[in-house]
Amino acid sequence: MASDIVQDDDQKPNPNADYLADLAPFASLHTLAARIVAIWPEHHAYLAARFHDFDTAFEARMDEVARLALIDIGGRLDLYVSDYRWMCEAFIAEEFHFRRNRTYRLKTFAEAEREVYARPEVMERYVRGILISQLVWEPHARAFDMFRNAFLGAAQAGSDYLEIGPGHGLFVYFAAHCRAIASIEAWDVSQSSIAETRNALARLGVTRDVRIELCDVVQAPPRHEAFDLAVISEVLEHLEQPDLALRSLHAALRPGGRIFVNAPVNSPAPDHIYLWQSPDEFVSFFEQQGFDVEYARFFPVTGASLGTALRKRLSISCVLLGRKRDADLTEI
Amino acid sequence: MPVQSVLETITQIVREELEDDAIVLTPQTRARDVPGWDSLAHVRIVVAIEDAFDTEFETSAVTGLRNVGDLVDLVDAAIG
Repeated sequence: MASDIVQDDDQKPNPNADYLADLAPFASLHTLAARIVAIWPEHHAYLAARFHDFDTAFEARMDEVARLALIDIGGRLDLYVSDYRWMCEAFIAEEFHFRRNRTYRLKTFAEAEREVYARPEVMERYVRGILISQLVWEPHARAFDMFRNAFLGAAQAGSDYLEIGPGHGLFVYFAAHCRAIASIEAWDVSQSSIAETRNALARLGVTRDVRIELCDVVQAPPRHEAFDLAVISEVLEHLEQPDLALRSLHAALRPGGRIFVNAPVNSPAPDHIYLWQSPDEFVSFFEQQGFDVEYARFFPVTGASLGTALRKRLSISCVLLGRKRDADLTEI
Repeated sequence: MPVQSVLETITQIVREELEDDAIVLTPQTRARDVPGWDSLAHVRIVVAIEDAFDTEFETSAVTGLRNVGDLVDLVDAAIG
């Protein structure tokens, strides 16, 4: 039962004002945090909350991700940090709408396309901001860490890997370095996003063959029962009908195939459309698309305990590791 | 409404939103002096204040406040 999965953790995180000193052994994370607070001093309290109860092993792993991100960023870190700040401020405006109306401002993909996706001057800044948030926002960082450890770490030898919306390419990078992965494929709806991912993978030095297809996951998949692993992270909340995306992945997975899903609840953003109001609701939705949950973690917005986030309806990233349940769905 | 009463109502709201009954606010208190009063919490606090006083503020008016005294003044002006 979904309600058994959510544990009400009420332990308040202890902010760590000396995070820069603690980050000293982790050169890439230190570079990033120091640059953020230099450009945006008011973000100090957030970073103190992000690096609460300093978790050395976790930050060591994130330092490796930060090293890759800095390679991708090259000499443009200040630009990325400025765009991260711009993005955070855009999220605050959405938060006002959400708190006043209890809905996301946008309802359709066409609206999101008009306001964000079809405007290169907006999209480029947004993508740069998202990359920084991958390292700085604790739910993003924790979800990525789960992908590496719990999902890729448990991959069976010879697995065929499929990712939806590969974006910055960091998930693909680690899949490409996982010996158990036999083949890597990714789908995206945007030709320009595909080009960006290819460029990022080249900068990161990924030499393995990565097949990236122009393919909309909410349509019927081009191939059925062709993959052992499917990844869909921070995509479902951007769709009008996220159920169709999961059913498509159900069809694309082989019997017993595993899936990594990451989606936030109560998380207003300039292009979020589909609102889940609790982790329980999201888990039920996931199960209804033909998957069993094997492992679930819920990461509250930086600075809040899970208990507070549940009571106050704050943003919570729901990370589910699931397995295809066979023979109870009509294939699309 | 007397200024002191506005401050008391705001204090109650902040305590409830931040789940900390020990919070004491004065007109000089700044958000950064109160653990947990970050930019997202500020949105929730402002919207709860809007609900309590049956008003709505311009976003630009509530993101540049210096301290609680400015917030009290804003409420005072809104409710006349």
